[in-house]
Amino acid sequence: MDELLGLKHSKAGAGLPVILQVDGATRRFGDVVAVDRLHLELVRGEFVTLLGPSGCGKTTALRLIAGFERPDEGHIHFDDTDVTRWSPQRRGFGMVFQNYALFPHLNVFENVAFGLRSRKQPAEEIRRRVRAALERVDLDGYQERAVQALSGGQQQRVALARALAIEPALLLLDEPLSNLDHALRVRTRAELRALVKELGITALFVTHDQEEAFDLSDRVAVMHDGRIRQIGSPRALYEEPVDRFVASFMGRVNSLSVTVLEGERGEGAADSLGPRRPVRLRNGARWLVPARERESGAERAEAGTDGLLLIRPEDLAFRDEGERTLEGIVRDRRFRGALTLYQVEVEGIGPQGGPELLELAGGAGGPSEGDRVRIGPHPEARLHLFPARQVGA
Amino acid sequence: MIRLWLILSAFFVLIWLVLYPHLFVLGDSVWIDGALSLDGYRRFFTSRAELEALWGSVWISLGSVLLSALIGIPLAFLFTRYNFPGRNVFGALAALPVLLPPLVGVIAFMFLYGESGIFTRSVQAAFGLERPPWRLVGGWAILLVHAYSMYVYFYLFTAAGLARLDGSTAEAAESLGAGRWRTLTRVTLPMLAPSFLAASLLVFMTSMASFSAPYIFGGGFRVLTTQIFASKVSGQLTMAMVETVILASVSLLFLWILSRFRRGREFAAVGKGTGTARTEIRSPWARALIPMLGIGGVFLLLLPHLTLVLVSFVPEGAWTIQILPTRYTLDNYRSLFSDPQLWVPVWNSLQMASLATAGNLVFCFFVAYLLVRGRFFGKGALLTLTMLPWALPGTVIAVALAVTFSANQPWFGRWVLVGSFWILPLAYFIRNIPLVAQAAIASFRQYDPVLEEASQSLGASWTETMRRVAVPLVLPGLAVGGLLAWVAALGEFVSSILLYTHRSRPISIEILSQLRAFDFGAAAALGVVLAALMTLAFAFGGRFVRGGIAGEPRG
Repeated sequence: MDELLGLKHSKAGAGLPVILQVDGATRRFGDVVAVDRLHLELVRGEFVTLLGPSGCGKTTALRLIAGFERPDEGHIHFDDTDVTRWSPQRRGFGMVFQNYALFPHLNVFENVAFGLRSRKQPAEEIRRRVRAALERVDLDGYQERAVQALSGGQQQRVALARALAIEPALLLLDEPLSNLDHALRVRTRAELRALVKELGITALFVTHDQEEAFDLSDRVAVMHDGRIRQIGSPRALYEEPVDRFVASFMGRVNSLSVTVLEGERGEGAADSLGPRRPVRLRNGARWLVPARERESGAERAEAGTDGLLLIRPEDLAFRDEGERTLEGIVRDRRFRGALTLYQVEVEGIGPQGGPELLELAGGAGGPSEGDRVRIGPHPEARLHLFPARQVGA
Repeated sequence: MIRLWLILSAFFVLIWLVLYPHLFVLGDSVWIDGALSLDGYRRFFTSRAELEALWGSVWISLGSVLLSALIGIPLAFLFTRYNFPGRNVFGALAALPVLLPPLVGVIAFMFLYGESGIFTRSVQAAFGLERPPWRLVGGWAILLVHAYSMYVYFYLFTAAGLARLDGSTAEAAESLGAGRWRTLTRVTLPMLAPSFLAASLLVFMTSMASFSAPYIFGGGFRVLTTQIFASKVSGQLTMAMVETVILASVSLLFLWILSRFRRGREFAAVGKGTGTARTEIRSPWARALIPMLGIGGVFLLLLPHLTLVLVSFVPEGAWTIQILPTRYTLDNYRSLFSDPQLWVPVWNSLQMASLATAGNLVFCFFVAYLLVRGRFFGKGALLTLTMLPWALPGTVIAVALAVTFSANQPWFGRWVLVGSFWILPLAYFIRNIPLVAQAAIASFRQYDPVLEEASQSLGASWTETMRRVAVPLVLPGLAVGGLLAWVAALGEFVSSILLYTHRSRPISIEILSQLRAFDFGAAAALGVVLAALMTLAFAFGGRFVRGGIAGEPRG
């Protein structure tokens, strides 16, 4: 239960050593609050991702931690030391940039050796460590190449080797895979995670790609409008989003306009999915939906107000007549390999009582376009009820 | 911390050396015999001679713009829009006049078209005239020299504008039924307006500041620059200051008007577009005629250069009444290395130009860093101060330095530098700040600032980042700027003539005194050395830029 609710993941677990702690860091650019009271804790050896759409403040958050920006308010502690006022140089975090930021006037060896030379290492030691770093990313033997002569994937690995060569206690990655083509990106993800885990490095990754975040991370922090909306394991975020934004950012979702009703006596009794609350759909149907109260600040829709009911496509199924079903016409079906997506038009459930297209993920052998069908959430489905007006937004 | 210190020192240097001296000029123009007085301005605006000089400066400048445009724009169209044998060679050679330093170009014209010049005497002999057919004196002579040396700006800017132009817009106009003339006047020329305005501005400012041509060919023709020189030399200091203020104000006024006019007139090609196809010239007559015209034209452009080289081999006193000199010798070049009268100025110029350029390189590197990377209050002011010396004629800067650094008041930032070795390097330094700063700014803009952050994240301090990342990346562009500044300082004449002392006289002053002593050979030899250095600098500089490291494109 705890795991599903993301409780265990919302804070670094007790007993585990917290290595990075961000306390209420805020950064404004003029009137724009890029990062708004950011709280984040990283445990040693953990891989955490900041996930969000462009402009959500995730890159600024990373730059605050790297030291390229100073927070207007708040503190950043690293290894129990306040590093808020430290320069990036003094922090010594390794960083991989989105466009790699390789030095065009230096060859591969000198790029990787850059940080070691700043640390005044002896020449022999530098050679040994550059070689070790390049071996790790499969580029040993490329020492003398000009960086412009490398492919995008190779440049990305040089950038990683350069950051790893200084043996950083924290590795910061700013969308380092976004310039690679899709196939290479997927392969590099796996290699990156394996490498970071093998070296036991704590890593903070920034991306706008949900799939990438899920592949790489132990925990994901979803950012929106400069704030972390929810932090937890990929599964917790998917199954128990705390608000509409997180729910829709974690994959496809249907949303139904409903009115939240006062529960009658006997209703609301807990079953295996927790307590339930009644809602009225726009077509007049009355549904009981799970309504757990969460500790993690999930928004609660008050009785008598408008609400939004979110249902993932895979939680909808073709059903026989019964409770919590809707009648509609299949308008489109798309074969997607492991599943088939059906677009079903249902009359009377739109926000103004009009028709609404619902997406359903099912097997390939379902009904055809134009077929009249009956659909509904299957009994175990996770439905999410949020207020129609976002609280606190 | 370092940044703050840098910003303060940049402002300090620019205010002290660029702004402060000109405030002295302004002050001295209204401070007469220990009292505030507008008497100087009253005398200026009631004197016929002074108003003539003001009017002369303005009309010479406007005339130079018009004439340069009339030569430069058609040439640019010819070389970019039409294809014919030898197009590339002639196209490149059309930029030749840039390779003559101002004073050197003027004396080459004198040897060629002057009263006793080669061309003049040839015409005189051909028609059996008793007297030279013309005298190269007055406004038209100045205009001729200006047109020769400044049409290049129009030529280069128009050619660049045409190359940037999206050819499909002209095709669109033609497909909509516009004829060739209509397409040219309604589409192509308006889209080239920014190039024309930029060239006009450059020609106008250069003409306004021009000193060599009016000084040598002016005769009784007055312009402000020569008027300032005359007033200064004859000790009418208040009048010199008033004239300087007027010249600076007129220059800045026109700069302001043209910049306002330019704003919002930048056209960028929308989408990829296509280049304009060159029209192949097919008529056999035209194909034969154009190369001949081309060769003739290039010969005409090259004549001053050739004349200069020819005269540089003439021994002293050997060329008096003949059309062409009769005796030639290498003595003039030999004495460049043996006769202290000649090599001292060469050595002086080398020293002073190198010193000034070294200062420019260091100072402009940091100023460009602040202007491109910095986020601070007063950045616009810093940019204005950096570019101000470009807008101020060399005569103005020289007068300002002469006034400011002729008294010993350490508490007011004044020391006696006039009459010392240091005043000329200082003048060269100030005059070349905009040029070198532009080069450095362009280089800083070329590479992604994230490289500096990468360096810091790898543990390099700010100074280390500058040394290991910024300097190597900026150096190619900065070096080219420095090279051009160095050559300009080497041949500098306009400020030098107001500030030099005999012991630290630069090459240009020595050319002038050899000319006065009628040793044309020695003067020409010095001119050839300057022109050769300038050519080398351009050739080397161009190569350096193209072969240099282009920074990574922004992500």
